[in-house]
Amino acid sequence: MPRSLLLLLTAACTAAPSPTPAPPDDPPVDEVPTLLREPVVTAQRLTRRQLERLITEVLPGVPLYIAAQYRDLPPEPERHGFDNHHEADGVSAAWVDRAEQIAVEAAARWVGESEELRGCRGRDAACVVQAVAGVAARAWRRPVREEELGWIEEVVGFGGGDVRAGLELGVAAVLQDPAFFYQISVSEPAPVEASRLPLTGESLAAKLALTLLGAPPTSALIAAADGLGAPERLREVAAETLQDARFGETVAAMHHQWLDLDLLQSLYLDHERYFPGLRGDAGPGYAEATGRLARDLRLQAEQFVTSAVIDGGWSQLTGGRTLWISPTLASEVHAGELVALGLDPMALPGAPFTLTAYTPSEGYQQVDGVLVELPADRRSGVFTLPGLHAGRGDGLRSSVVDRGLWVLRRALCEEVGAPPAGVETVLTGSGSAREALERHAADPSCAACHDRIDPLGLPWESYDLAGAWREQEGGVPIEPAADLGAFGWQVDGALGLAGALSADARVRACYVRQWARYLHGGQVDEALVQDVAAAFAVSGEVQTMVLDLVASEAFSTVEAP
Amino acid sequence: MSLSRRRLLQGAGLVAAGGLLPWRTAASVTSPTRLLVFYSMHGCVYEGWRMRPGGRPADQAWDAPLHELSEAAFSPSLRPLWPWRERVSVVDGLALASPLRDRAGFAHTIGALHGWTGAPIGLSAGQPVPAAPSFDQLLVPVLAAPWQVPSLELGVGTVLVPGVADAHHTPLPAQPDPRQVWQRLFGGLPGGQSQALYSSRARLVDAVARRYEALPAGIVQAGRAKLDRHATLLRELELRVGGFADVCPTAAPTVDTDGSYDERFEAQLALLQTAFACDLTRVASLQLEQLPGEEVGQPGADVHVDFAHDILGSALAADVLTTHTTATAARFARVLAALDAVEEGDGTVLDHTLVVWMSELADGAHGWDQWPVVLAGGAAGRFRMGRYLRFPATTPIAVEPAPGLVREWIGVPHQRLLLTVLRGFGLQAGQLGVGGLLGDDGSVVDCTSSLEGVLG
Repeated sequence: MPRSLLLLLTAACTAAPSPTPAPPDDPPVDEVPTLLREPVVTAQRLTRRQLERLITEVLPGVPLYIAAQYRDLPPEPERHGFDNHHEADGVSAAWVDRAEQIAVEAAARWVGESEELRGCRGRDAACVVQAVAGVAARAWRRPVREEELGWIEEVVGFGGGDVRAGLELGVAAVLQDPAFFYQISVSEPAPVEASRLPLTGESLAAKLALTLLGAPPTSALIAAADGLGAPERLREVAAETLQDARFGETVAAMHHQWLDLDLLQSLYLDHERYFPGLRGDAGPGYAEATGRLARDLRLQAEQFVTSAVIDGGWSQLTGGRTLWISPTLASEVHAGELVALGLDPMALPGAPFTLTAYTPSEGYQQVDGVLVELPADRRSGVFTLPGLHAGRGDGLRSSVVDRGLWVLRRALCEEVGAPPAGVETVLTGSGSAREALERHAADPSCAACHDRIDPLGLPWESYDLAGAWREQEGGVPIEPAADLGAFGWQVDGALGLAGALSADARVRACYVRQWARYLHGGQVDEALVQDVAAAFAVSGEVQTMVLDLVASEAFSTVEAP
Repeated sequence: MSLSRRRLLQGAGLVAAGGLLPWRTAASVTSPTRLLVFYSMHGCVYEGWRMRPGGRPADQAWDAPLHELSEAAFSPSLRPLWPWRERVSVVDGLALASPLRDRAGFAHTIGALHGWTGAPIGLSAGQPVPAAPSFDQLLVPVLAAPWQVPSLELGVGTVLVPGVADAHHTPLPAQPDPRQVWQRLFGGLPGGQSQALYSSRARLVDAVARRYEALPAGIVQAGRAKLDRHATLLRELELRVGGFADVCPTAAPTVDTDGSYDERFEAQLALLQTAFACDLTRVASLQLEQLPGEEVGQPGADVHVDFAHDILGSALAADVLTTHTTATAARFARVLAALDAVEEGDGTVLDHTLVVWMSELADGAHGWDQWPVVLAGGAAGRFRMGRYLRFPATTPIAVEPAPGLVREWIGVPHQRLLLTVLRGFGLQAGQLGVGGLLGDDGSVVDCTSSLEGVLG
């Protein structure tokens, strides 16, 4: 077969790093030769969320329900709310079993409609091998090596010369390969005394693309790979990469986990209070109604954070008031705010702004909505998003503790231990949430932690379990005041707390840390986070902060074993 | 209706040649032994669970036959098991003692990890994680053949804390969706693919496994271990990939995670029954989320939030949790009936299975003492059935389940029961997690010796 054609695809990056440096032309007689250690190779498995995004790039046009099947893989255990921690990427029999089924089904579904099949129809096996190698280069995020072509040829050969079968087999194999499931990073050789080893340009290009875009490296990244070892060049290329529209999806994905939007998947709201028109939470329509609301709350939050980060920065992220509102959100969450603006919640004006959503029960859908700037006394940035507060409770009453814990752990990055063994963790009895929480303060075994948790949750009582603004609950006025003196804040209510969080350097530093966790797979370089946080405190530019974290030694090198 | 494995397999045309499945050896055709863990939440209300036949004392070790007891003599929580009294054994007097010597944390998490692994929790980025394999997984290489699904973790609802961890300490969360379980066991391909792809899956997995095995040696240790593990799992998959849909045809469940609690329970149980009947796996767990409020006479209530923690101070809460255990026992009886409905060799699948009913806590108030356990089936006589085994509190570790209610001694460390289970299946493990615990009096409490009266 004409392998030269294939090698043209890969020639730019197939040169393996030289195991030893070229000898100097004229070495000084007394110079001690530098001893080099072997390249270090690391492997971290992609998460199911990463695989779901990546497959749409690997198999263009693959039905999205196929991509969504990667959600069926056993979930990764979370660390600090993120699913990509390097210590939590083990595989199990159930994982491997399901991954094989998905690979086979994806290959069969995609090949039937792919241009690759059409291009090879009536041609020889070489065409099929070339087509599969093209898929492999995308799936493996690097060029295919010459020796790997033989393996592809072998697998394609299982099809007995049938073009379709060969393509199916080849693609199914590629989608189970270690280079697909794992981010395999190779270092350059380095002096034995080095504590960190720089990644090869090829590995760095692949890591940049996967981390920032959820995709294989672009042709520009591949072309730039050889120069990425220079810090200035890495920063330049990373900055260009951030301009790719797919970075917006990464922003949404990061904030989805930071805001813990997965909670919305199990949104439970008391039907009498929130859906009085339905006959009960087991009756017809309830699951659809809560499912639609949860979907739109998630879409709204993801659209907001993406827009804020791409078009603005920290000030917009924590102070923006323009939210996407669907008909469901207009009636279930924002009705009061819209009426206050003189708008009819049942007929919102404005150009439709359509978002795409996926739910297991309904598949992918286009959801229409409009963008509305909401009143400043109701919303102000990410901490006041309905999707952040919805569902944090027992279905009837919102949970001050859950909301306070989110702020303490996710916005302030404080480590909060679990309650000691044997300590009563659920407050029961009659009375308002505030009365119940007073028992926390009175019991020393509770107060040690709850003195910090509860004040951070109380102001959000102004939002009900659907995330809607409220002035009273069950006829009792909401009292959102809280003593936040322990945090150095003298503020009242939800908007006051949102403003305090926005202005606080600790919160900005925590936000940087959350990005570092997300971008570095849980391997946080404390010195880097502090340096980047210091710069971010001044600039407030999120994309620059992301750039600082990516164009760093922590990202571009691996630790020596 | 009694199901015969032979009949079931004959339906698929598999028994004609001497009754052997295509991949099974003659040795493995003799009735296999299995382990099933039935796992429920919130333990029990001890007073409603324990029995004292003939007024036997709590502070002595004794062993009483269950078959002599009338239905009324069974405790409220265990009464649904009365029809099975000769096929079950009740183990009374255990404690989850090791959590009391571990770091503090969310009790359900600590209890789940200790309960399954017998070991102290590990920490990763501040999160509690398994630091050892769970006891059921230790039996996978003992009981299962390489061509079988190593173990099945089935969930009804989302279990609060997964405790099952494989030999590499990787958590194995229970699959709550019956359709996903079916897909894993029996799912063929959806159609539309080439015959070559359908018939070449094993060769394909082999080709992929070779790629993992050929990776360069320079991969650092943590990555190497992951990839080696992946390769091993592929080699195991190679032996069974695509096979079960042909040899054990079973219709897909009609419910997924949106079904009612009982619909999901029955769907998972049917899959478990079939998996055992067709000998697709020999280690499994059926892990139950707490029952809905309707099942305990409290429509709309959340058993955990509204009642579980109050059992020591509220008669209503204690009644609700007792009812919760009783309703769970009724489901345990359903499991026994399903396994007993499948004929196998000289008995039934139940006869050849050890079913262990355990929980993440001893009681809803986050208690560790008086951990309730019921064994059933007996695994072909390896374990004694039809007994009520009482072990007095001999562990000198004080607990205070409620203010002023101090107990100076607690029950036998649960590791001893789990080790007994392992040894009953022929695994001669020296210890499970911890070998000993420091008593309040400075003595070392043994966690390694087998429990008397459990083995057959």
